[in-house]
Amino acid sequence: MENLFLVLYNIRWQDLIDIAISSYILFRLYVLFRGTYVIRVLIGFAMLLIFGRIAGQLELIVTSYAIQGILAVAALIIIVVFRNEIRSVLQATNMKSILWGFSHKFTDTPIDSIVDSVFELSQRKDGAIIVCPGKKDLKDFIQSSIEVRGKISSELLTSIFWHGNPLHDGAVILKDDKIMAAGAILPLTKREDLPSYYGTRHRAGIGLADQADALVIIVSEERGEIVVAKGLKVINIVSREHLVDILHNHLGFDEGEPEFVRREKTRIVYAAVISFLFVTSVWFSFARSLDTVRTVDVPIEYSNRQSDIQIFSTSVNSVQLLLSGSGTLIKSIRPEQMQIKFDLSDSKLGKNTYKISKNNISLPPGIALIKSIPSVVDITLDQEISKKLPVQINWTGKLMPHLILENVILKPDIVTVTGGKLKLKDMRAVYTEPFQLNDITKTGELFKVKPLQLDKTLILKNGKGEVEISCLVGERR
Amino acid sequence: MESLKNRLVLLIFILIMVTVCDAAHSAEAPVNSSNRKSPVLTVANMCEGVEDFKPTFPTIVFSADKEFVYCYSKFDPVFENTFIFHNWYKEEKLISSFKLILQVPSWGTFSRIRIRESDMGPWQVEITDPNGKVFKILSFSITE
Repeated sequence: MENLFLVLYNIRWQDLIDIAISSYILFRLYVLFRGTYVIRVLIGFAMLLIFGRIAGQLELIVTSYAIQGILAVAALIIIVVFRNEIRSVLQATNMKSILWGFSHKFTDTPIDSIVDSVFELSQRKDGAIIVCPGKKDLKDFIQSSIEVRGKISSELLTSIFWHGNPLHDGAVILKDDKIMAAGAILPLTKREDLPSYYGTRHRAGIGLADQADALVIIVSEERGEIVVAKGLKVINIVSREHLVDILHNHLGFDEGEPEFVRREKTRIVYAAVISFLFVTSVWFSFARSLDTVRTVDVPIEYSNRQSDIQIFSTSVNSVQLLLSGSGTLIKSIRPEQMQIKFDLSDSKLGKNTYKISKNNISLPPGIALIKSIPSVVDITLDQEISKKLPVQINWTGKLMPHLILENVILKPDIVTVTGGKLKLKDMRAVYTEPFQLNDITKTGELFKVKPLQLDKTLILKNGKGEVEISCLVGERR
Repeated sequence: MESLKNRLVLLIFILIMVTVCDAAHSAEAPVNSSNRKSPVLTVANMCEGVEDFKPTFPTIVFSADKEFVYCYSKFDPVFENTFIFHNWYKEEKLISSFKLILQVPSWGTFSRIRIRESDMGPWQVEITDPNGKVFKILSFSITE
């Protein structure tokens, strides 16, 4: 719930435009391809997408990868399989129609005549197959036929399927208000889930419906029953109204018919709403989901520091932020889009510990903070001073027992060091790098140069950072 | 009469001189007083021992095998009985502070610490007066 509020709170105007454009594109795709199989396949891919997201959420690794693989080639599959539909849509419509026109589904097919003839054939138990094509060209599916090109009428249809007619065994192909062909041989279906009493006529009609987007009306010769096949659906017709309704859905309405106008408007509104809801949910899922995690190194910035106070040390210079968000947003974020800022106006001299919280961090919209590493930052503030300190040798090792280190002369023996007041307050000497006493093997004078060891927050104001050492070694007596 | 006048002038001159000398003496008094109070450090050594009030084996490096480290200091002159401090530091940390008496006219005194294994590293002894004025800082190390 907190995430949802976070997401809603962070919605930008770009996001709203993003949703609006995507919704409109989806809506236009529906308008252009409705009535074809493209829409069904797109819906199928959308379902696949949703399943993929669910599988990802449930951490079903193989399923998730498999669905991602299918979706990766989805665009290619759609273009290859539906190249004819895409071409016909693009050829048939101009740019205006593609972008904002509505190609209303008008028909001049006399639906009543078809329904009359079908029911008459049913009554007479004359077998019949009537094919009402969709947008797909049927040339590839029909093996042979006799061209008719006669105007559709109940009489012509019933006469074609009269058992004495030589064409009565084939199918009739309709187009607009014409019977284009009769005696057409259709491909038989290979489906095994059909009732056993379906004969060759049923199998031929269902076979064409399986492969093309045509609607096929089949009248049984033995039982006189009427069946409509479309896609993989086989529908038993129970009444005249039922068949009229199915034909209207497939072929469309007569222009100006009030029922048609009402249905078209309702359908367009539904399509628009569904497109919007779908895109919004996908957008929330992709653009606003918090499923991707990334660690980003962000430098710390300090503000409102008093002029006489300096930052002498910080426990870290940058903080690792563990962020979550959608893959797209997470991948696109750049370090300069993020800031970690501390207000030093209320800080005190010495060590200040600041907890890194959401108040200190500014993130791009849609990105949520999981945690910061580290969660606190220590900042040491101090006033800069200079102090003179003696140089002292850091002796190590063991001097030979018969020798004694009587004296040592250092050049320089005092250095001036600049640094934090607190740091220098208790500092009593500047030490050299370790000097091995084992190196001293004989009496007399020994010269050596050793660098000075200095904390990185301190600056040596004079000298080269090294000291000349002159040792006087005596013999123990 | 002339003799009386000369005697009066001489008396006035003597009085003026006494006054001037007294004023001059009074002006110098704090300096002299300060010098007199502050003893003068003449010898300051780190050493392995003290025998007959003299340092033996002065050195700046002490082996952890030794039992003690000594800090010897001699003041000459000492204008009045007073005391000084030997403050022993290991790096920045004050380990111990010894209050040592000085007596007129000159005085040698020492402090010492027992060496432990954990004492290895650089050390300093700061010799100060009761007011914290530093006479000298002696550096040394305790090694293996």
